[in-house]
Amino acid sequence: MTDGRRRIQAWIALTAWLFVAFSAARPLSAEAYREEAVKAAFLHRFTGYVDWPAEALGGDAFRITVLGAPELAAELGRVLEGRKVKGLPVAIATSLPRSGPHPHLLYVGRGYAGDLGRLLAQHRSHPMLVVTDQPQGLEKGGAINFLLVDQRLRFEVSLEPVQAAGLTMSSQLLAVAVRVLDARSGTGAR
Amino acid sequence: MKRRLGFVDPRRSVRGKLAATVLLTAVVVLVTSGVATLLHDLSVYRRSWAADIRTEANLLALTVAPALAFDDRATARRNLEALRSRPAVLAAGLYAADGTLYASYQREGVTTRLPDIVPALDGLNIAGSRVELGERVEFNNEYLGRLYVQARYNVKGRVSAYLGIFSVIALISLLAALLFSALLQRWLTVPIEAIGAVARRIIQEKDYSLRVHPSGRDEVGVVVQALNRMLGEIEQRTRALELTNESLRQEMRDRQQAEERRRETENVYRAIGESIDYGVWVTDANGRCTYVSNSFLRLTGVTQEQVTDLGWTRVLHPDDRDATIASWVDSVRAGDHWYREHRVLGVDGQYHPVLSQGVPMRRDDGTPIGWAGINLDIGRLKETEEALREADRRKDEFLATLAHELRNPLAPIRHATLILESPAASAEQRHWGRAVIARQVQHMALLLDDLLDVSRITRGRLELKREVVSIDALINAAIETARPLIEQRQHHLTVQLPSEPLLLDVDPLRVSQALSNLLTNAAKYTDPGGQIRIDVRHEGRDLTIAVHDTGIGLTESALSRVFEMFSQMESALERSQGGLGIGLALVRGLITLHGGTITAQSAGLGKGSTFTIHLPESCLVRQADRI
Repeated sequence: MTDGRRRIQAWIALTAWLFVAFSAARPLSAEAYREEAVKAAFLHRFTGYVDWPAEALGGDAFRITVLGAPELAAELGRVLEGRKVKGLPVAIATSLPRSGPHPHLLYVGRGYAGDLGRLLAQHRSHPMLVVTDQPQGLEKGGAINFLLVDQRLRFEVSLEPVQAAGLTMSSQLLAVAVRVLDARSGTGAR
Repeated sequence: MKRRLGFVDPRRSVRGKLAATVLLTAVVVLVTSGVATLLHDLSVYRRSWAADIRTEANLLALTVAPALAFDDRATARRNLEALRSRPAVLAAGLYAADGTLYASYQREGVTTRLPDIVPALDGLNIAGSRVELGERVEFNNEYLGRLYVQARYNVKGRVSAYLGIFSVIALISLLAALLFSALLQRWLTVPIEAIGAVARRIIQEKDYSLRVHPSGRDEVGVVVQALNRMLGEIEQRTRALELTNESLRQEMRDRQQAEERRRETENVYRAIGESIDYGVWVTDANGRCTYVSNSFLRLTGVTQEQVTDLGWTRVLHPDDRDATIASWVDSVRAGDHWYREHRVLGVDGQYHPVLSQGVPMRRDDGTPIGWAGINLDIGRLKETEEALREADRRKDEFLATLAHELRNPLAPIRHATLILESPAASAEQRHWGRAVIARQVQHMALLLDDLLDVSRITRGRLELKREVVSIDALINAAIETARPLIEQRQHHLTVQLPSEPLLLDVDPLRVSQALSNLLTNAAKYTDPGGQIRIDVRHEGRDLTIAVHDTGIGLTESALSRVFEMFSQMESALERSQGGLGIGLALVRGLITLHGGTITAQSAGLGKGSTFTIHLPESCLVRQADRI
């Protein structure tokens, strides 16, 4: 290989990097928006792979609470517009109710500043699927935690909180999870 | 023929046919069942295979759904990789909801390129050996994307595998069929071949006493029994037929012999018929002619068909026809025998007198069968009758002439007698009277001599007094006798004699008498002043004496009768030349006595005539004999 060729390749690589870096660097751009949309879609799809106990679905709505991610809440509202989840109309809230029924799905975004571990500990054993977008989300008690792998949105699963909440999760979902924490061993399945 | 009977073509033998039938049946069954099974199997295979692929795709769609749902390309690829365990699947593509190719799988060595955007295919599509399948990928009623699978529909492998199995089965089946046909042969063809062998022997040897050895109680056994019974029947009938045949042959021989005899008899009758002048004739009971001999047909120049029925009456003389028919009809009606003379028109244009006579033929019971008769030629009979009548007439004429000739001299004699008796007669008158009487008596004497001579010759009572005399003396004596008449009628007589002297051994009196008769005749029948010539020729052994005249001549018919008795020409009476018409008959008689002949020639009436005497060698005296 000659020096000239190596130089040309270096130029091409640089140009490509600049292009990628430039397009990714835009704040609140379409890129950010798209991530919220993908998350919203994932949330919706998670509900298809998880079964709630029949008594938990006795209410008049499938309740979703989104914490620390107002854009996602808005996006989720758009995604689930006119749709039903588990045969129920969807109700989205941005705060946990002081009283009354627990949400079926709790999403804790990066914007949540509170103590996630404490919050989740309070709601433990409720038939509630907790999806977090936090570092160490699983360790803090989340069942599913979003993470970015190679610029792509992926997720990891912990089975212990799922079992504790009385939910059943499809193995198919586990197949696409980046990491699965087993209930007993607590080690990653993959 | 024999070779064909002795040698059985395998294609025609029962054994061959049986083997062929079994084999053919086996082949037909094998092929039919094989093809049907193959078709059925292919259809089942295709259906099950399609269902299989479909299930696989369904499962895959379910499996891959989460990968798609959560945008996990690696998992999606991993999921598709599971297809590696399916060799029929060539390629598979997973398309995202936006239609772009999300993940793909391609079998090693397969060059098929998956489309970049999702193919619009929902369900199964079989194109030849390729199968495409489009499957929606969805979850929770959400459309996630589409799975596209391409597979090889391996019908060839299936068929070839099937054909392999089929070949083995066919081989085994055909071997079994051959085995069966061999077994069947023993059960079936052995008795049948036995039948065939017996049949061939029967055909070759014509021996119907042969029997087929009875085999089992099956159909062949029944056939054998039937055949044996049939053979028994045939044997009996053949024997009966042979007997009948022999009797028929005998009968035929008898008939042939009878026919030959009949033909011989017929030929005999025919020959008899032909030997009878104009043959025989046969009619049916109604008098219709059915047969006439060929001799009659030859005479009349008509055919057998033309004389049939009453056709024969057409050749009758018109004057005879009606009377003949009437007499024939009468005879037929009366059943009486028939006798009829009539004239028949010959093919020569002449009418021939025929005597037809016949008798009825009857059966033993008297019923008439027909008539048979003969046709006799009565021409000669008629001629004889005519000749007799003519002779009778001539005799009457002769008697009249004789009476006249004898009476003629009587008038001058009576006249002379009266003169001689008359006293007033002078001596001269008396001399005339005596001369008249003498002349007339001499004439009468000559007449009577001639008559006596003819009578003697006719009765064979005349004897010749032969002596050697010269021809000159004979001629002179004859001329001397005839001279008075020749001179009286002023004829000119010339005599031509051969140069050398000629001596004859004859009765001089009779020969000169014959010659003088000829001369007298010539003088008598030649108008006065005619030429009479005597021509004597001696050439070789022939001696001819011819008397020529320039007289009235002779007609053709007269020439033939001139030497007969009483054949004087009718006109002679009127000529009052006298004569009894016996002169030439006398001449011929005299010459015939010498062994000679006489002929008459004439160029016709008024052209003179020539009478020539031929004397035989025996009448000649040679000079040597004389010395």
